[in-house]
Amino acid sequence: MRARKIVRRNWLVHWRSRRSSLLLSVLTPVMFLSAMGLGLGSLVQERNAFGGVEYAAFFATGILAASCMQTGFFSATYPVMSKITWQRNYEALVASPLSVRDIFLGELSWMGIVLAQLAIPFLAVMTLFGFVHSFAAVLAIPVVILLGLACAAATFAFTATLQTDEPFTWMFRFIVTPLFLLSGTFFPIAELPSWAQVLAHLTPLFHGVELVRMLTLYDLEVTALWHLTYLLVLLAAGIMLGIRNLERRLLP
Amino acid sequence: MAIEAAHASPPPSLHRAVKLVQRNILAYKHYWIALVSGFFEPVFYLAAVGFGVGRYVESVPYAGTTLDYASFLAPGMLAASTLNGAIFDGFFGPFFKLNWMKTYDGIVTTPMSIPDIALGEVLWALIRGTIYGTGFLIVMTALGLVHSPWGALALPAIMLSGGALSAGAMILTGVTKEIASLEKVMTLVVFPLFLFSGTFFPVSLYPEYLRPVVQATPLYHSASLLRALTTGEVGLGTLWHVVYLVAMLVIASIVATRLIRRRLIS
Amino acid sequence: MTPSASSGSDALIVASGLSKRFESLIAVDGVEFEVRRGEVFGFLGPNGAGKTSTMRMIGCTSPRTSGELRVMGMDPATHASEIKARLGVVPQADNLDIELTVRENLEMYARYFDVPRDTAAERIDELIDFVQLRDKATSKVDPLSGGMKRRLTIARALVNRPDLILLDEPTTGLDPQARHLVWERLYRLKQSGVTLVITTHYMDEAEQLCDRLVVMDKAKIVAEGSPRQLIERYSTREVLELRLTDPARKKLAASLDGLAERAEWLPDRVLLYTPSGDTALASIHERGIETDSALVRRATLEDVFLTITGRSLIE
Repeated sequence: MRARKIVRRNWLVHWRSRRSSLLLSVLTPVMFLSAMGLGLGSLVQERNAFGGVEYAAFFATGILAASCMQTGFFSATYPVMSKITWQRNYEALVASPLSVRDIFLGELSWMGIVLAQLAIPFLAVMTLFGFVHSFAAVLAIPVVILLGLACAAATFAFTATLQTDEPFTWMFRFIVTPLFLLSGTFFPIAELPSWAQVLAHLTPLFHGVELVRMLTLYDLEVTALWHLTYLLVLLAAGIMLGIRNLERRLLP
Repeated sequence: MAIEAAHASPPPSLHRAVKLVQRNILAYKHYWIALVSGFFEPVFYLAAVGFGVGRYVESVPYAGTTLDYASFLAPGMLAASTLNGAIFDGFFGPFFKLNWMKTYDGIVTTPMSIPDIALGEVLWALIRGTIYGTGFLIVMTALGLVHSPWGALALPAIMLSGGALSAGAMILTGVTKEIASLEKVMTLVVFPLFLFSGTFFPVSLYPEYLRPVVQATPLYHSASLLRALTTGEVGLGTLWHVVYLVAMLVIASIVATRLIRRRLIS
Repeated sequence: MTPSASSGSDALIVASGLSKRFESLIAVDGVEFEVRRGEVFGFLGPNGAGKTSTMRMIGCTSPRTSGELRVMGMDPATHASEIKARLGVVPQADNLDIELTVRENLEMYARYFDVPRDTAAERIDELIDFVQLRDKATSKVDPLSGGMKRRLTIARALVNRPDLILLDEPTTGLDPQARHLVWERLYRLKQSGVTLVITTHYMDEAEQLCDRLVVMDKAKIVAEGSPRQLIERYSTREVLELRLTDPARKKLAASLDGLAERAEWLPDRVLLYTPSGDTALASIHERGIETDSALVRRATLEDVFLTITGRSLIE
């Protein structure tokens, strides 16, 4: 029973973070894209700033990546915390022939599935709205899953060291939400002051957003390799650190 | 049957309802971070959308003239911040107290009645909505987004909006039992309200046949009222928004009390 | 404010023909009982017998469907707040306020009951000591053990100095040690003259605590009296509990005559009701029936329930 209340409360606030049914997972992008894309977008005449595409398409790609990032972050916070501390599922699993590595990778795979359930309908809706300009867009799906998993693995590594869930509230409010809003999701980062642009380049969301846009709206450039490398390195580091931290936690 | 009908409890007592507010203040000493952080979301949207995207918006048609986008969006986000407070404290809070923590089951064994509890929760949600709204109003003023002395009336308007939306949120509490339905309510009620109530873009952009639908929603009235006050475009139509919100406050409070009673007294 | 009850001024609760119906289910069916000032009154019965529904009607959180009910001379249908002001309630499932600390829980309830602040502070100190939670006073409720939560709930029920305390299954789910601690606290309350109404499906709890009790089964009261009286009325003084192999069981069944007043054939045991268990056991052995184990004990309320309903309390 314990802190689950706060858990639930928090995850509900982050409406983007979980969708149980297909209907809901289709409705959310439909609503978001109609309001921000078509509604707000109709007020925006500018195209150059968005690489020559209409604002709605620019926004749609950004929000697809941002939603996956947020889901990645979220799925490695309260749900993992709950299995470590409150419900002690992992403790039971360690007693079985499974290794900590298995548990970690198993959890991460599950998160990948959740991310796919989010990304595929989202991209389908974008296509229906006419926001997809290239067949390469199909590759955006593995890219946003990679983005989500990289965030999830890093967060998992952090969660494994925590005793209470308090830092999560902070993390969502002061790290995830600002990332969401300032990594080129809503507007090009060229608009930001130069120090903030440097900061944006360090965030996984920026790299994810750039990749998705190249695949769906623009032409692929060599820089795509750099964005991809960033995400892969983050994922690898997250996995290594995550397994290590979880081992320390479960096998003292 | 006659006996059950006789159980209809007397109207709420303010004296007792305030005790529930005290209880919530006491509880929030432990969760103050949640209280503070609820204020930030609308501010982020104002920054990212109002200013970030807003610089690409020439102007927004409004009340026969035009507005810059940030000035248009800010009162919308102000209304959204009262919605945030209402959902947090009129819906999530009571939902968990009713279904998970069984807090109310304990409280109804004391002289506190269900109308007392419902009034207390609405009062508390109103207080929090007011705190959020006031904070946001200060930010707006600092950014020069309040264009008229009418803006001073935004504060009571925030309270009215907070109260009406909280009472509406309490109805949601009365009809939801499972965690899964919370998510549905968020996706099917709260999120569309947030996006489509004339908050991000004017109702005039909707096709003719959709406008009455938007104009029936509470957040539309809340956003329109606040926008009229912060821009100074006040007219008779503004009064209609006030009437709508007052009526909602009263009717929703009564309905919510009935629904919650059904859950606690069986 | 306090119209005198029809059956004497020392009756705190009077119920007659009291019924509760939920759509198709009859939870309580025309029960009649009276609880007197200063006594510990029990509702004994298995889960689903209607005990909790009865308690909730007394506690004004469930309107009755028909019949009469007076609590401290008042009708719960019209005087809920006045009645609740003088009640203490310990519900079946803890509903402590988990967002507050131990002390804050008591402080808030003191406020709900309009206890003046100074009085409340003093009383809360006493209560925290009474339920032995002094070193947990500033802890949140969540990490407390089941027994501690129960004790805190009991303290909460005392914060308004109630005339009447309702305890619904006060020790269900507690380990034996925690149960004994709760019983001991309840016994102290009883000695101080508070009226307690308890529901339980534990016969030992009923025997330890209750002056008088009613046995409930399938929404009805099936017996009433003190534990002693009920045992005398519905059981023999002693019970011989036998564990037997299947052949021995058959043999016993065939030659039961004159061994006992009554026999209960449970899946794992046979209970023989007899004034003297030792005598009965001797004659069983005389008849050449071998027993795996044999135990002579005094009759309990469990036996009373078994006799009346043919079923055991905990199934």
